[in-house]
Amino acid sequence: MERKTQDISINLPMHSQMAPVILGAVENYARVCGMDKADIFKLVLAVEEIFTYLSDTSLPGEIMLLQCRYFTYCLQVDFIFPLRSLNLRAFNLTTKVSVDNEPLMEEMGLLIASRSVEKLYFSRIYPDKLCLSMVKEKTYPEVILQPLADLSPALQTIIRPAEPEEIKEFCQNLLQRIAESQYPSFFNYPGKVIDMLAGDEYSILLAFDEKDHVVGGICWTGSQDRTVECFGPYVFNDNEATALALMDECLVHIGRSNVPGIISRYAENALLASYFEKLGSTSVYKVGEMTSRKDAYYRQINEDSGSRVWAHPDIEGFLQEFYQGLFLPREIRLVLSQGEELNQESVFTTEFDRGREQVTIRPLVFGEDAEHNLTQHINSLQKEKLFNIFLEMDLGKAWQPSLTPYLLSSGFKPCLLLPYAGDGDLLIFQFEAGDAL
Amino acid sequence: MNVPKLDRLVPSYIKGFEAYIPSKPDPELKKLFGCKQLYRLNNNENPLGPPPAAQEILHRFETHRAAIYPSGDSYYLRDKLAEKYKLHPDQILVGNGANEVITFAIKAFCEAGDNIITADKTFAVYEWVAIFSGYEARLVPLKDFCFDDEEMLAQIDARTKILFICNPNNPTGTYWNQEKLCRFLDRIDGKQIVVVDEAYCEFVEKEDFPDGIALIERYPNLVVFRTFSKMYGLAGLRIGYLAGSLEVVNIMRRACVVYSVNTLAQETALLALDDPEHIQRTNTLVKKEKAYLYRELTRLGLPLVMHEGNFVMIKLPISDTLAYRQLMACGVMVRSMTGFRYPNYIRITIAQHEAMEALIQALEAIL
Ligand SMILES: Cc1ncc(COP(=O)(O)O)c(C=O)c1O
Repeated sequence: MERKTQDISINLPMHSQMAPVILGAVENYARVCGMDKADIFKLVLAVEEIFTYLSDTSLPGEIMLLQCRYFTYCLQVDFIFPLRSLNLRAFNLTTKVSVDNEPLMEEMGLLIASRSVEKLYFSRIYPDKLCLSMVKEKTYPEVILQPLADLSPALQTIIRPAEPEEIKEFCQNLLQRIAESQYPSFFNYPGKVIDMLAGDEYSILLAFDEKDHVVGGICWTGSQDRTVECFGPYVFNDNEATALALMDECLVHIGRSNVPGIISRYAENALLASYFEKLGSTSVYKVGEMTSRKDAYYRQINEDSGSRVWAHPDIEGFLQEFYQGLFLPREIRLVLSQGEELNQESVFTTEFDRGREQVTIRPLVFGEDAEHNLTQHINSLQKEKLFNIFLEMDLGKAWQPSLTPYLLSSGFKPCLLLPYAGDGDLLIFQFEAGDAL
Repeated sequence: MNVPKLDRLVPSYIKGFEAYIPSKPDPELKKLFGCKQLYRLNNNENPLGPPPAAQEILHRFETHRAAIYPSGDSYYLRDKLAEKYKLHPDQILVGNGANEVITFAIKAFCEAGDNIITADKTFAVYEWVAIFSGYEARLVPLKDFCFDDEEMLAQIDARTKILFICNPNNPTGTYWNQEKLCRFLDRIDGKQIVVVDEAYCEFVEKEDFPDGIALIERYPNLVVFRTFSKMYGLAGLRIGYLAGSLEVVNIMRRACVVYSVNTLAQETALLALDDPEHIQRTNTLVKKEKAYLYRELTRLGLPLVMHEGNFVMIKLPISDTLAYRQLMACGVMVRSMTGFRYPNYIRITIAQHEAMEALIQALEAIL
C-alpha cells in the first residue's frame, strides 16, 4: 500500500500553555500515518517531555518550529528553536543516570524522552538555532521462516528493483542462507524493510534467475551528499558474477551524485578487494564481552581533490599513516591549546542503536570538564548494558580535535576514518573496555 | 541580515540537484598529492595544443583590445564556418564551449513537463542541463557500449522534445554510421529535435562515419554540436558551436547568450580551421599511441574499450576512485568512471608517448 502523507510544520510560542496544541498535532499526525496506539503513546510522551523542557528554559516570546515527517516505517519530529535560551548541559542526556544525587526533575524528563523513541539527536546546528530530532519507529512483527526453493547457479540473471512480495522472499533467503553477522537486524522484519524502501532513504536491487527466483540482492541507504552504506551484495546460489553485477548496478545508481562515498560493513570478503578499500575495524561487544572485530570497507564515488583537516598532535601520526596508506590527499593542520579560556561545561549528544547495543556520541560544545563528562557518559552507558560506544570527531571542525587527549585518556581509540562524512573527514573513536576503567 | 528563505526560493529540481565540482588547478593538486609532474589525461584535450597559426594569434594579441567587447555573435567565425560547410551564417550559433550551446537547445525547446532522451553512459551535460532546468532526462542504457536506437525511439512520448546522441560516444568511442543515423532520423520524421554531438568527429577516420552538418539540409530537425576544445586544442578559450536548419536555429537564437564568446577565442578558432595538417598530425599521434596502449594494457591483462576518439576506457581490478588517487600520486591524472556509471573503469586521454609511458608505469606500480 502506497501511503503518501504530507509533512506538517507549526510555528508556536515556546510556552507550556501550547503543550496541548503540539501534542494534539503530533498524536493526530501519527494516527493519520498509521502508527499503532502503543507507539503513538511513546512518541507523544517524548514530545511532551521535550516541549516541557524547552518551554521551561526559553525566554518570553520565543518561537519554535515543530516539523513532523513521515517515512513509512518511522515518524520524525524536529524541534527547531533559538539557541541562546538553552542550558545545553542538560542534553548530556546519559550523564544523569549515574550521578549519585537525584537528577533534576526537568532533566529527568529528557531522559524519559530519550528512552521512549529510537533516536533523539541534534540533527542540524545553525548559527543561532538548533534542531533537535526524534525518530519513533513503528513496531513490526518478526519474520516467520518458511521453506526455501532450491536454487541452482542461474544461466541468466536479471537485476531489477523489487516488488514487496519479492522483498519478503529476499529476506527469507537472507535470514536462512547468510550468517547473521553479515546483515543488519532490520532484515528480521520484512514488513519494516518494505516500508523503509517506500521512502527515499533506502534502496534495493534484487537479482532473479530464469525461473524468477530471488538469487541475490543489494540494499543501500543514504543519498544526496551523505555517505551511503550498503548491505550486501548477497548471493544465494554461489554465483560470483551475480555479486559483481549487483555491486556494479548499485554503483551505477549512486554514481552520478555528490555522495562522497559508500561504506560496507556487511559484505563478503572476496568481493571487497576489487571494489573497496579497508578503512579499519571496530570491536563488537556483546553483553560486555568483546566477541569479534568487524572490518569496515569504503569506496569513494568521486575523484578526491584533496582537503584540509584539523588534528591534535597526539593523533597526527595515526592520521598521516592512514592518509598515506589510502593515498588520500590531505593537508593536516594542527590545533594546539594556547592557554585560551574554555567553556566550563562540555556537551555531548548521544544516539542510541539498541538493536546493536550501540551508542554514538557526538561533541556539541567543548569545555573544561570534557574528560570528566566523557567518563560519566561511559559509566552510565555501561550501566545500561551498552558496550559498543563510538565517538565521532569531525576533522572539518577546528574545535573538535581539541578533545583528542581527553578521549585517549578515557579509553577511546581511533578505529575508523570516513572521508568527507562530516564537514570534513569523520574520525571514529571506539571505547575499548579492556584498556580503561 | 536575515538568512534568505531558501526553502521557499529554491525550486524543487534544484534542491535535488548536486553541483558538479571540477578538479583543482595543477599546482594545488601537485601539492596535495605530492607529485612533481602532472600528466593531465582526464579531459580529452589535444597534447599538441592549438594549430601553429592559431598559436600565432595568441602571441600577437594586442592587449588594449581586451577592453573592447568581442563580436556579440562571432560574426567572422560564423562566416568562415558557413563557407566551409556550405551553410548560411545564420545557421550557426557559437557558444562559450559546446557546453553552452547545449543550454541554448534545451532552453529553446523545453518547457515544464517536457523531457529529453539520451543514453545513461554518455557525456553527462545533456542530462544535467535538463534536470537543473526542471525537465526530465530519460536515460536509455547503452547496448554493447553503443547508443540503442530502438530503445530511444521507444522512450519517446508526446512531451519528448530533444534526443541527444553523442557521435562518437564519450566515453565508449562507439558511433552510429551514416545508415543508422539516417534510419533513426527517418523514423523520428521531424517530430522531435535530434542533436548529434560531434565533439570528437575530427578524430574519426572511418569511411561510414556520418558528417552531421551535411545532413542538415535533408533533416531540418537535426542540430549538430562541434567544439574547438578537442581536436583544435582550444579548451582553455572555451568555444564551440551548433549548426542546424535556419528555422530551428532562429528559434534557438532566442535562448542564446550573446557576447559570451571572447575575442581571442573567436579569432583563434577562425585560424584553427585552416590547418588540415594539424588534424593529420594529431590523428597520427593518436593512432600510434592507441596501438602502444593496446599492446601494453593487453600485456598487463587489463580489458579496454577502445574505439573512435582520442580516449580509451580501461577496466581495473580495483576501485577506480582509489586508482585515481594512486595514479595522481604517480603524477598521472585520469578520469575515474564511477561518475559516468562505469564503476572500476578509468578513461584515459591519448597523449604524447612520454605520458603514455608514465601511465603504463604507474598502472604497473599500483596493480
Ligand atoms: C561529447 C562532448 N560534448 C561536449 C563537450 C564540451 O565541450 P566544450 O569544451 O566545447 O564545452 C565535451 C567535453 O568533454 C564532450 O566530451
